[in-house]
Amino acid sequence: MSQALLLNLLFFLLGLPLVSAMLAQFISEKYRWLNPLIAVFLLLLTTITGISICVAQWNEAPVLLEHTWFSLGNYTITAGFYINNVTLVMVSVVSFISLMVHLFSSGYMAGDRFEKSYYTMLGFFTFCMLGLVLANNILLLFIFWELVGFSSYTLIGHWREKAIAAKAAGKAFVINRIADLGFIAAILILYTQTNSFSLTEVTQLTNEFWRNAAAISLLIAVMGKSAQVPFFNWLPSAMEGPTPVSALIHAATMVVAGIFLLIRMFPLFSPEALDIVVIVGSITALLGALAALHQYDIKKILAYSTISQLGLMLAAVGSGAYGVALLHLFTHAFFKAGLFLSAGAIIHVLHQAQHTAHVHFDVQDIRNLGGLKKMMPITLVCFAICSAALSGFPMLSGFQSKDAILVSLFNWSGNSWRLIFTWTVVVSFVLTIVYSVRMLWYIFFATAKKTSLLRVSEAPGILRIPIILLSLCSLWFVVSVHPLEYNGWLLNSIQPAKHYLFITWLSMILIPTLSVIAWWWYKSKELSRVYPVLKNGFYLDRVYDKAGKNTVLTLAYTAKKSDQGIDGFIHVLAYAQVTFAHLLAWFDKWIIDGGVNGIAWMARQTGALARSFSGGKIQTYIFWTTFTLIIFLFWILF
Amino acid sequence: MPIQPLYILSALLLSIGLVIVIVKRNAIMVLMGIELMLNAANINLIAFNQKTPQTLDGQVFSLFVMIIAVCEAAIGLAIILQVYRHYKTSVPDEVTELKG
Amino acid sequence: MSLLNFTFYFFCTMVAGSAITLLFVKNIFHAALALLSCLLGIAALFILCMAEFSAVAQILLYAGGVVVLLIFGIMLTNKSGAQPIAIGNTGIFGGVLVGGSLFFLMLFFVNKSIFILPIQKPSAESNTIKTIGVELLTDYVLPFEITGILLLAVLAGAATIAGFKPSKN
Repeated sequence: MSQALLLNLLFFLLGLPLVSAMLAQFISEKYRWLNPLIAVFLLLLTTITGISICVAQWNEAPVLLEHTWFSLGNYTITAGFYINNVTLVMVSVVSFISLMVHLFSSGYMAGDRFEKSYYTMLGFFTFCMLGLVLANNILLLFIFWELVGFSSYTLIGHWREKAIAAKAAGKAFVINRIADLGFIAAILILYTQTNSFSLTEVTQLTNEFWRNAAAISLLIAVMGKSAQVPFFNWLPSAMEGPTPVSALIHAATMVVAGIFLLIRMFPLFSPEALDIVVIVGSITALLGALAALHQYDIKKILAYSTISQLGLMLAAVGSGAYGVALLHLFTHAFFKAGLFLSAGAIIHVLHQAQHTAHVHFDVQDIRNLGGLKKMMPITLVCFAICSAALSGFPMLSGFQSKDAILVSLFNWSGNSWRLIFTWTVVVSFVLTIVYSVRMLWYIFFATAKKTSLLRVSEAPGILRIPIILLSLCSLWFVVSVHPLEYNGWLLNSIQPAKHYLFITWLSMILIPTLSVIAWWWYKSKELSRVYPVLKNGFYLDRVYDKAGKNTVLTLAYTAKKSDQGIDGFIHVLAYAQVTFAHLLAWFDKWIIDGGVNGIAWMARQTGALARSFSGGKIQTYIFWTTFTLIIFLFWILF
Repeated sequence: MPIQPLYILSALLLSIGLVIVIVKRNAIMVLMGIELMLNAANINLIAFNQKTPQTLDGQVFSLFVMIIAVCEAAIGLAIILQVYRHYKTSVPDEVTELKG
Repeated sequence: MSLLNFTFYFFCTMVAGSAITLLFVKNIFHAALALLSCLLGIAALFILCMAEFSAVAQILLYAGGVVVLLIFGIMLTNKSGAQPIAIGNTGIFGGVLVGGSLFFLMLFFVNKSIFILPIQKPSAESNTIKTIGVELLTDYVLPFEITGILLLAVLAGAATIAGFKPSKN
């Protein structure tokens, strides 16, 4: 493909979601039914463009389309697109998931009060995410990075009249901003060290110290965006947003921007820095899985599951197999989006049913659900496929990518201390199976509780299509033709991973076994009690509240005090000025005016004196006569 | 008799007379001041006459001075009466016909 | 101090005191009385200076003539039955300045030169009145005559002025 055509296609790719966003804003209330139609159509075009670019450029040499952005003195900052296999995978994933979510939204969000701004922000987010993926300039990347954060903020707070949603949006925004300090630090370090913002150039940094510093700073930014320990608490709260948004932003695309960044910046990471990445990732994977096991809210379960899976991706990158991380990103995007959308379908359907039956309970709470297997068979199948992919069942894409992660981690750890973290990841795998089974069991197979009060039917077609498509994409063939082979089209073109057949076979046997055990476990007993520590996400919110609030309050108090000091100083200055002004006024009044007046007075007195000579008063005449005589006498005699 | 105190006395009388003439807001008082000044001159004449007791020139002069003083007083009082009749005042300041 | 000296300084003090009283007194009638005492004191000093004739003339002319004339003036320029006019002051600063400076000027020159009287021999044989009479009609005959004419003119003038009444129109 020629560069000019490629550039045009890329502009097309970026422009269509943006046009969709703008049109959503301009379509009048009267034609609001046009909104989803136009958005879905434009996103369909975007997806076709994206996939066609991907197909056309696949395995071609990386293309760098650069233009001068602006010049500062001698420094020329260039901005451009960088296209290699990684970005192509990301483009296809983002556009495809976005299409699915738009499609789903047209059913899910129908009749929503803020539908207009919803489609605007959804289109805008897609544009920003594509821009983030394609940008070759770290500054540009940062801008898009912040813009997706902003879109996420607005979409989490979509139902803005809900105080909890607004608070969750604020929380997500603030925590991301704190983590983004790392990004800024990384940009500063990279620019001062390499004099460039270009991603291809900054990764060539050789200075060991600054390389590590930049890597760690970037890691902090990634930890914020990808909800890693200790910044993960914003993601469960973000579930206050609409479910399709959670699927798009908080499962499939935006949160994996961190992973994408790590993959793009991979050359910058030294083995030591990568070790830290694995440690962070594996701990997050374990904690996320633990917390997911103890949630009642479907979306919270999925959110913690996402955190856990993101931890896995981080661990994969840290083990050096960034291709494997990308593979897991790819597969996870489909099955997690599928899970979210299925959950969304369930919620939607139950909400509708609640409306007709006039019964009200929290439809997201799995304690209230159950017995949906008969009512929503198609959703059940899709949900089961996706959660099986999540837990790593053979014949599904999840098995392949997780297998690859496990192999690469065992390769990375060998027989050293690193084995601890590898086993941490293994434990998180086991936990994943357990919570997947728990979720599946309580939603569909357990005896119907409050749902028995409702007349529930299958989700409407517009909701079913994306779910079915996504669960189809969770099957093995999206990775490779061979169901146990992970080195498919993707890994072969990016970074082929090593095989370790023992692990593959073992997990093939163990995963279904564990699933069955878990199944029996949940079947045999009532809903197990949960640990508050895990349910509340390790009280991270409260810790932040305590630590953050107190620090901020102390800081604010100090600032206030110092401000008062400054105010006092200013007051003193002002008083001094006023006093000085008074002095000046006094001086003006008495010295300057007084001088002028005095001269006038003197003139008047002189005049009066001169007039008094001829005032007609005899005694005055006598006085002046004798006075003159006396002066004359003095003059003569002395 | 010592002569020095007489000079000092005459100087004092002259000065007081002058002050009265300038300061007092009454025409008759002014006349008195003039009398005082003339008397100061007389004292001087008499005192100096002591240096030449044979000739008595000073005494003769003092006589003339007295006569002049009496004339002045007579005429002055006549004028003051006339002024009082005309202006209904004996305050010399209030008679400002000599204003230039 | 001899009695003579005492008398002399007594009258000096009396004259000076009367003059100062005259300066400060508010009531114009009291002023006239102060002037009278001053003039009488001066007459006494004249006697002490061996000028009997002048002293007598002083008493006759001033105390008997001028002061009475002044008191008549006071009466005539005062509304009947009203309080005697309080004498106000004007231009005190100028007056005090002129008077004070004149006084100190004269005091300075009086103190600068020393006047010594010749040794006095009592002139019992010489008759002062006779000598003055001779002088007036010999050496000073012209001034004497002119004085007479002046007195006549003053007599006529004073009568005319005082008797002048403004016409009705």
